[in-house]
Amino acid sequence: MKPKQRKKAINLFIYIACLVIVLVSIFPIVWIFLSSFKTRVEIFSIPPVWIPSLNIQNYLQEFTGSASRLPFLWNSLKVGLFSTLCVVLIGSLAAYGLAKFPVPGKKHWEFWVLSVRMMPPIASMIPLYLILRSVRLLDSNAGLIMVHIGFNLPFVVWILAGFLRQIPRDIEEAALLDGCTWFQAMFKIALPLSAPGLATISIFSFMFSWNELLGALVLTGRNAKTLPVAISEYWSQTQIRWESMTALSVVHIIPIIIVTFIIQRYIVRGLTMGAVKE
Amino acid sequence: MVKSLPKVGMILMLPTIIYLLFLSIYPMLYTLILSVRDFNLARPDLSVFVGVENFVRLIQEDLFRTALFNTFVLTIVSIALELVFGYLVAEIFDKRLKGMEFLRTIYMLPMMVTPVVWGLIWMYIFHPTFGLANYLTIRLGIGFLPWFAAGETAMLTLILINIWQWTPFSTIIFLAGLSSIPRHLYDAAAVDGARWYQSMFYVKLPSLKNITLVILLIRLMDNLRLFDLVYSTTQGGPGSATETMSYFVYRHAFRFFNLGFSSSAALVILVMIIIISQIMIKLFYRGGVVGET
Repeated sequence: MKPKQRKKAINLFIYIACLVIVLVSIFPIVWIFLSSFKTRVEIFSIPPVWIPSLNIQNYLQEFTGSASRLPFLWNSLKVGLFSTLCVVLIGSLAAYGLAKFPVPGKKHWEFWVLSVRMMPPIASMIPLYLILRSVRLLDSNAGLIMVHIGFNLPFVVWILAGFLRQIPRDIEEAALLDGCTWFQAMFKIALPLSAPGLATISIFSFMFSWNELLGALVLTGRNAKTLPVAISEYWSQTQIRWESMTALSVVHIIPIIIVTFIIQRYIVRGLTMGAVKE
Repeated sequence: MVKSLPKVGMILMLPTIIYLLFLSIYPMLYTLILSVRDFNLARPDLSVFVGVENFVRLIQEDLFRTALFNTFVLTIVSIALELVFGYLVAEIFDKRLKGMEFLRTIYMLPMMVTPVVWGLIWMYIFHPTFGLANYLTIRLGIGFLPWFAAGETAMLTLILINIWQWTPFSTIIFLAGLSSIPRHLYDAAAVDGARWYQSMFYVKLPSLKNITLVILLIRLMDNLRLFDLVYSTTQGGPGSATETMSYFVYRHAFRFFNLGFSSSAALVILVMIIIISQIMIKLFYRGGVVGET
């Protein structure tokens, strides 16, 4: 074989290998997507129905009528958006402080923030339950929002501080020489310049909240439960309504898929707390 | 620019510090107080101080030891295999071909999807009677497998799912690591007549040491607190085959409302995880991975 042909053959082989790996990896998601259009009979049929008859009955059943799951979708959205808004507001102040000011004991603060992130959520769940119960915030969006802010804060501070450190000092110093206060320098220069960082942490924080199960499971009930809790409830029913469960899961997954494509450049950084940059 | 303003930095950090104190230190102390009391939510009036009795009970509790054992088995086996598979896949993906970025992003999707949904997907696929998995194994001649339904296979199934979802994580981190190895190292190795496996063992793998540490730390913490996946698939069963530490605490706290006892378990887990994570983070600082981000 000529070298050029050989190279082509190798590339083709790599493409096929990659394609197979990707297909295997996302197959369960594809399967749930296909299954969400199945009728009840098709769900239980052996051999499995590969291509379902396009029926949207499952979705209609989940999102219309008296047993609609729409309120839980709203809860998820509300909790996700509000906790993200707050966490970015509080976290960006701290990140700026850490990144730009000679705070005494800086290393220790950073270390502590990171340690909080490592804590297993189950360890704080019991006291949080009792605290929220005593202030009557159990089963409320507000209570869950407060807890999600706490979960996401270390992450946001850590990542955003990383983004802020990358902004060259000269730019801000020039602004300060021109008579800006540090406050203006922060809001007019540093934060806008780290817009990709802000976008990344916002999306990540929303996604953590959107996916979070344990807190929502323990701290909310009938009124304020979120989509993951609603999905997990199918488990406890003796007769699992698979067709409904698949439809609800697909609704939960779709925003995640969209968001993954938007932040693909920063996923590595986000998932490793900024330890690895791509 | 702001050498004169250390106070401003502190003021900026104040809201975060207060919030985290309230949401981490305060609950921790609260857990400590609860752990030395006999406190059941059903009868809060009967709450009494019992000293170390909860911890003594915990040590004698077989289920807790099983939960510890299961968690460590799951953690070690999952991470080991994720690292191996992750690296192999990274080697394949590490070619700058057209459309590769797109494939990589799709490949990342599994780890972005919430474990609850994964759990239910797999419950459907591994269903003993109408699941796709058994249909395939029977067709392929492997025969009927009980998956989640039997104690012997439930843990293996859980590990399989865990690896399935999280191998992409190792892969993309390894990819980031591979792309940061300077080209001239390969060229130098090639000039010296190194074969592909020699350049793998002497150039690539040593350069990936820190990156591997990152994967290890993050996956270690994820697995030690694993809850969602267990909750949405086996709920610790059958028997105690898939009981994990987090699930043990959850069950005692929010099914039996035994808040005193479960707090002592939570505390033991917390201390264990703090020790492990502190060691890992120290290793990190020494390796220069974290720190100046």
